[in-house]
Amino acid sequence: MSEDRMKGLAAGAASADATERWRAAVELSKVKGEEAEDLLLGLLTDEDYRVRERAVASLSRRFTPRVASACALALADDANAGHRAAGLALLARGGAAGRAVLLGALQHPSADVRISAATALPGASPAASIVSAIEAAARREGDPNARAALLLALGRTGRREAIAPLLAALEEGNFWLQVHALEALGSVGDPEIAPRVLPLLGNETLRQAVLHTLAHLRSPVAAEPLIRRAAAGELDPFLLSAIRSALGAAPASTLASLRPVWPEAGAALLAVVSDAEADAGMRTDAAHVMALLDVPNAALAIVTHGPFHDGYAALRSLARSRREEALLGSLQVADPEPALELLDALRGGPDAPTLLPLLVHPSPTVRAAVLSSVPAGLVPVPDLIDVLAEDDPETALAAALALAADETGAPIDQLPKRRRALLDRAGGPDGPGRVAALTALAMADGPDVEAALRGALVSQDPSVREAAVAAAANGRRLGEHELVARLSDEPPAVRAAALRGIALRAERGEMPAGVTWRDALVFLVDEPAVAAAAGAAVVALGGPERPRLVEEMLAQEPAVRVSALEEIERTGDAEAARSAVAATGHDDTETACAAVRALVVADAATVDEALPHALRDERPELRSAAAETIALRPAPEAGGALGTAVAEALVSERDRHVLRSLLLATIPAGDATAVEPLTLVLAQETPPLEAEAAAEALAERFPEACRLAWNHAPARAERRWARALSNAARRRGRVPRAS
Amino acid sequence: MTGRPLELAETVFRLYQDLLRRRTGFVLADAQRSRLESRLGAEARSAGSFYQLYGRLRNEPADSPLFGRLLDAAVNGETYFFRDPASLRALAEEIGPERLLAAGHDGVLDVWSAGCATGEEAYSLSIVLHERGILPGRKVRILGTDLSPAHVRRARSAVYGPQSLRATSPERLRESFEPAEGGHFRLKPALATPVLFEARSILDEPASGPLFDAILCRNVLIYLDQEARSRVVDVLASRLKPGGYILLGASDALAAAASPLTLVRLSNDVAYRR
Repeated sequence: MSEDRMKGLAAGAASADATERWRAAVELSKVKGEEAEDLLLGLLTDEDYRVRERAVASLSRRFTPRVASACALALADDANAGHRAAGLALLARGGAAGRAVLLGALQHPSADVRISAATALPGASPAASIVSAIEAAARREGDPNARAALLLALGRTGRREAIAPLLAALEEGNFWLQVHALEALGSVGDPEIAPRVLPLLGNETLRQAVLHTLAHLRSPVAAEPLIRRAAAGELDPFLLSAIRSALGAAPASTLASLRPVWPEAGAALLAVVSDAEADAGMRTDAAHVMALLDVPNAALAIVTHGPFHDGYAALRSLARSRREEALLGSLQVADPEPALELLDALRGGPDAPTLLPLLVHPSPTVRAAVLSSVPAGLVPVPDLIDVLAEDDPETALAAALALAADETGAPIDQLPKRRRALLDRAGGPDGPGRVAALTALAMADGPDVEAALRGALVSQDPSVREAAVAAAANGRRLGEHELVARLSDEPPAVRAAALRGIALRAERGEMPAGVTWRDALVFLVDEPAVAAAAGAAVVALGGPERPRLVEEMLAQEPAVRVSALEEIERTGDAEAARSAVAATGHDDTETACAAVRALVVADAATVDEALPHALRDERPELRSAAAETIALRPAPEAGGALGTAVAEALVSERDRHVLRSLLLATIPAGDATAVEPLTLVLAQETPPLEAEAAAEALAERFPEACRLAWNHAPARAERRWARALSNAARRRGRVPRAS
Repeated sequence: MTGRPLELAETVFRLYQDLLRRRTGFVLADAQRSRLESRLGAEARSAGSFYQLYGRLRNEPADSPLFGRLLDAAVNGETYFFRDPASLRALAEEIGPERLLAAGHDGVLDVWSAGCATGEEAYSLSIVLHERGILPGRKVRILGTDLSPAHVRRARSAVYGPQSLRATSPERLRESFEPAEGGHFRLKPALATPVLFEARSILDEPASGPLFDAILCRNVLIYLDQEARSRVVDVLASRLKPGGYILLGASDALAAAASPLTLVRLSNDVAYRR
């Protein structure tokens, strides 16, 4: 780092312009040494919260003893609340060292400081000893607000060890502490707490807090006593929320046994869902409870009186036996939303065939979605021909694609009736139906297909010509020269389709005769869609020159370079992927993401070098792309850089979307170091669905480390680790023994 | 070409979110992921994957049919005739007469339905203005704009099915529509004449341009990010004639609260003025 550069950064940090200070904070994160550290510490007192946030992010990567001391001072800065908040945020991210400062601050003479410290505790991955330390502080704490903050911190540990002191606080009889202890017990989230708090429901002043806690505990044990209260006429938003949560966790057998407990549920819940003036959250909970309790006509009531806070999601809570009722109900309303909700719930699953009745829904959106969602071969051919004949731009493509396949999975050329129907439409008048039929015929072959394509290539309708070019490129009947001829077509969409077609043939290893990457160069300055297709074509046609051409493409317009980078994966060229590494830190996020994705076909050394950097990038899109690329690659070697990088990223990731991608990456790439960070994710109240799959993958590969985590995990994580270990053991048991 | 429905991966969904936000200002909620999956399934299959479809969409102009499909899939264009009787009454009984009085004998009543979807709101207004006797006697121009070219095409055709007409009384259906093919109904030409449709995003509206006596912008702001929302409110305010009104949906009111607009209580509805 040159002296001038440092001076520039110091000037930026002292600038009157907040944007300059923010930039300085970003740059200072890349500079080592105490001078940069001091400047960043100074920025913790900045008047602009964005600058403070940036300084916190930069300092959290270098949590030295000096930084810890500065944070301790920040905690006691009564004059600057922003400084104090920044110090707290930094301490919370400071791991064991930050936690030590926070625990120390619990003995500060100022109650405000003690409260601030308690609010930032327990930090990530608290051990049982942290629970003891917080509990001890809570016992000696005299200030009721600070004590309440400590109880909440105990709850946030999520550890079973916290339950006993919290239950003890409940028995003290101090309303303020009881309310906070109840909230903390909800945070611990162990369903076994439910029987301990249920008796407090009789205490009118605590009732609301108890119901709130029960809603977080998701304990089936609470279902019956709560429903008995509802049956006795005690129906309000808090009770309904707790009932919904308890029923959501109950097995089907429990749900069945609960129905007789509240015989009037149907009428009572219908009164809530049909009351447009009622609290929106209460109506939503009532709709879910209706579905879970399987009250008569629940499906119709949900469809008729929705949408609710979560749209028509209550339809997903219905028993399987009520699906048909729900489908018929959704046909009785013109609003497509209930039907689309059912489609979203069932598509891709074993019940997808039951969606077929929705094909008569008045909304073309629904009809198109049904055609795309039901298994191939389910919709009768005459119905598909009718839909295609409607020439509706929404349904035509879905109908044509459904027509192109049946349940056997045979190629279209072996399905004469379907093939004939598509050919008839492909040779018919222009319109969405013709475009769709041509698209569906892409995989067909034969002189009649060739004739249909040739006919379409001279259509007056550019979208028909575009579809014909795309279909011709897929097949083998039409020669390259016919694709090349379309490069001079007037509408850019047709030229782009021709370039994509040429690239497609090159990807398949059928290097088009007489066409080279040089022929695509002229189109790099065409309309954006054509230029992008040209960028991809240059890379596809590049052959041994591809790595150099990728570098050339990186100097082009964004649309070109992104398409060129995306093409690398399709060529499977590891050398070309290596050329993309230079762009993984590109300022343009889309370019950087495309470069990262190209690494899916790179060699292990290239990936080990580039992807850990991308996982630490500021931009969530890039971190997510890196994680997803790892997830798509073969498992790396144990003990490599990638496994460590994934584990580190799991610890620091705050963005839930990126976390989901990281969990997917953990499945093939996580090593033993990922077990502890994964435990933190599993301890969340509602961890991403991918967390349990990641836990199972780790439990299969590192059973000992996972068993250890299970023994020491917070309550919620403990249950999830137990499930993952048991599933992994079952899977291992199925593996045949070697003879 | 078919089989299991294609999956829209988390990261790729975020690309679609970013694309829509950048190009239109529309915020695609996380919960819309499976909706996008089912509604763009055929297009994705035809392109090869959702990622490849995204690659195509990224380079498509916003008024292309393919980008229109994305908009249709992402934005709920669900509307119907007489969906909001209060605002129609406010326009026909209060705002319209007041503004025509101010405009004088030969004055024109200019109304803009911003984010008009498939045109039901704009045509409903034309119908109630006829019912109140304002049309055809006085000059009225109703402009409907929507960012989806497909929506605008449907609006221009003025042909509607039972879904759009679900809140239309049999009397109105008889008086204002004539039967069309396939159980649909076509708006009578005299009612369609004062209404003009244009496909453009409300975010592309220049601050200076034709001025309006009333602007209806209902359930549009809720789809926009904060920055786009305040920009749109500013543009709407700048396009009002002096004394003109803006009618927003109930869920849009928060966006207006942070703007320089003033809330005005009418007998039938609430509106905003500069």
